Amino acid sequence: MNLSLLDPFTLAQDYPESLSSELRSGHSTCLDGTVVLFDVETNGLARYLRGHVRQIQSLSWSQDGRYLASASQDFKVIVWDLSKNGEASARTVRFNAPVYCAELHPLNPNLFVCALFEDTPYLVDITDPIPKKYPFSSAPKRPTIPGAEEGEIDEKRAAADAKHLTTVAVFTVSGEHIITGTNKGWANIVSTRTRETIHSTRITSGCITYIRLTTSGRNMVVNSNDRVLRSIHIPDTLREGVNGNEIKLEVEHKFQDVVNRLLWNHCTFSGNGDYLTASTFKNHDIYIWERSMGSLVKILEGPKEELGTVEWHPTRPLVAAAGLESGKIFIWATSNPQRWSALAPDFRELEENIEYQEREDEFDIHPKEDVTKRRLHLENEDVDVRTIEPVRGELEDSWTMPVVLDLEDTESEEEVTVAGRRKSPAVEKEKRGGRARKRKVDG
Amino acid sequence: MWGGGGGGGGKAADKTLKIWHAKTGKYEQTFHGHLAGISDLDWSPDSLTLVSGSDDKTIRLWDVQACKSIKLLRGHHNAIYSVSFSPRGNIVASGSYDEAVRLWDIRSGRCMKTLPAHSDPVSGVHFNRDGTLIVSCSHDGLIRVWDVSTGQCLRTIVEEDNAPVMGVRFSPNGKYLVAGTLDSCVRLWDYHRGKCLKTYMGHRNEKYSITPAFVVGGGGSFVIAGSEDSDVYLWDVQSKDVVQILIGHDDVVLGVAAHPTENIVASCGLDRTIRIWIDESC
Repeated sequence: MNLSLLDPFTLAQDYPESLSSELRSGHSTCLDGTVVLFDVETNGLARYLRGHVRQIQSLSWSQDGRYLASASQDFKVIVWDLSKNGEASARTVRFNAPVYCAELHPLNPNLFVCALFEDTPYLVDITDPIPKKYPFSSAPKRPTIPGAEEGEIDEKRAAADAKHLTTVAVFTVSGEHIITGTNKGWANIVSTRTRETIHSTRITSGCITYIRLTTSGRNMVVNSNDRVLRSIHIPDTLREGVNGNEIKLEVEHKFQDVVNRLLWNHCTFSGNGDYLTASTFKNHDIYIWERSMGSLVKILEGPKEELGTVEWHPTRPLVAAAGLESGKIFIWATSNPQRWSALAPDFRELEENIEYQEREDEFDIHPKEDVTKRRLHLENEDVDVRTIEPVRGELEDSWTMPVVLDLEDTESEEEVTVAGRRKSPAVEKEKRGGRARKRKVDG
Repeated sequence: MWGGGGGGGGKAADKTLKIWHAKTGKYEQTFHGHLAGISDLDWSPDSLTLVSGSDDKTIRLWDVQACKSIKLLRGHHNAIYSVSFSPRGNIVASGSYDEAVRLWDIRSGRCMKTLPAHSDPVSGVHFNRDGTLIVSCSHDGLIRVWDVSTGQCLRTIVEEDNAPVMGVRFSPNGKYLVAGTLDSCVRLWDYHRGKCLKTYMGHRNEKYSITPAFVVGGGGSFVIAGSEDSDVYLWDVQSKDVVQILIGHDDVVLGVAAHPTENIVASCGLDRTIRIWIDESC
């Protein structure tokens, strides 16, 4: 509701410019697997979620912000129901391998997809007390060559395909398909309903480490260890029942640092999908590109340490990144100076001097009663104090997280450096339409 | 102030808070803890927490079910005049005789921002519907609208005569403000344009801090305020006519509160009573 009062020039600035604040929880770099929720409104701690015992690999919010899935190296995925507190809030699913990533279905918080270390990926349904795990294949779908006989070549290919391992899995925006990335650089599209691979494309020769979709679901970015980020347009025809042979995934732009040959730690889109952001390996900077043109618009500087996970606020020009050494979370934002004219209603900010035009009756003297009477007479405007008018760009919250007041006191300032580097502590903003108010960081 | 589920709260200058059941009038509990009189209180959105501001310069948060003080917010340099909970329940705003407005992160009890708001005691603070704006008013005659995330002043509203403003509230949809001033007027402001749209008159308010309120629980929209002639006045929002005068108190009526959904109003005054008014016509 504040948008209409803000300076339009400030609002036009849609990517952050300067480091604005730092957040830390006492043990944000420890590898004890605690998930910490921060409140973006207060920059304070909102909740501790304890259940994992090792480093967290990924976090995923449900659309309304009520559920959160965390995947950890301790072979577990936990789906947290944030409307509850304590033990009752956690729903744990165990696997036979460390979990790379888990993502909640966009419409059904009882369904998630996860990719595991040297194991097949799973689609998991937790509606019933005993979770149902559905494995699906990592092997790419090869086009059938007409007239080819069952023979030697296929056997060779089958042996090669068996070496494919899924490293990342995400849902499309409708939830009807799963997009997975493999260690051989292939992207597979899997139907959520049948769990069959309907399409495969080789994106790169390197291992795919991360896939991220925009909020609209029309584009995705693929990070791989060949030091290139690729933005890919997702065809509109990708719907339930589509023939996989008709789908084409084409790389729109490649984002790379040609001079320094930087490896990208983590990448993400801005809330509206206009910008792509990435943090860099063994480097302190965060790069922001314009997605549609592929041009670099800004390099965010600030902390003198390597940054891991980077996340963009779903609606505001706000970028958060986790520092790997100090364990702090750094936030970049736009600067909006105070408009002095707001402090005095009869003042106006002028670009240049103007000649004052005196009104004809400006210094006429009227009896005070007459003035008051006339003014009261003019108060005939219609007012409606009840109807809530929806404003563009401001979404209503469907769910509000209960405020937990008795947080335990954990202000210990331990300095522990992170040992594992490939998958850094994840920082993720609430993925929802409204003003995000909490951020989570793994321990 | 109204709590959810029909619980009603009362404040007192004898350093305690008391809660009564709004429907039955049954006394429920008393909170002890403040060292001086309490000026203002507010319920959290889930009605499980109460916030109170006191002349002992502190703000206390109370767990209603456990009946105990859970947080003590210190920082103001003078007595607290007004408090308000944000609609999400994570922030409390307070106005004080030290002329500042403070925003508090209630989970940590930390002061998030201090807004150098006014040049006289801050008599009222209130959050809008979605928690992005705060309005504050003061004896210096100004009403200011603030952005919660940046802490910047977005609008200042001043009436020509500069009469001290004793209380201000956003309308239920957040489009307008209603403010009571010591020239015995209650005004409805469009804060986007800085324009006074309606002036409600008829009651008397020259000395005491009387905050007007909106009544939208039933079918219509009304503005309600106490008066120093010991009555409660109810105006029609649109026509500005006094539609009802509630007579019953024996002394100045200081506080009024409207039920969020039903046509019920509570009032309190210097005669040390709280009266509940129910519209039986609907």
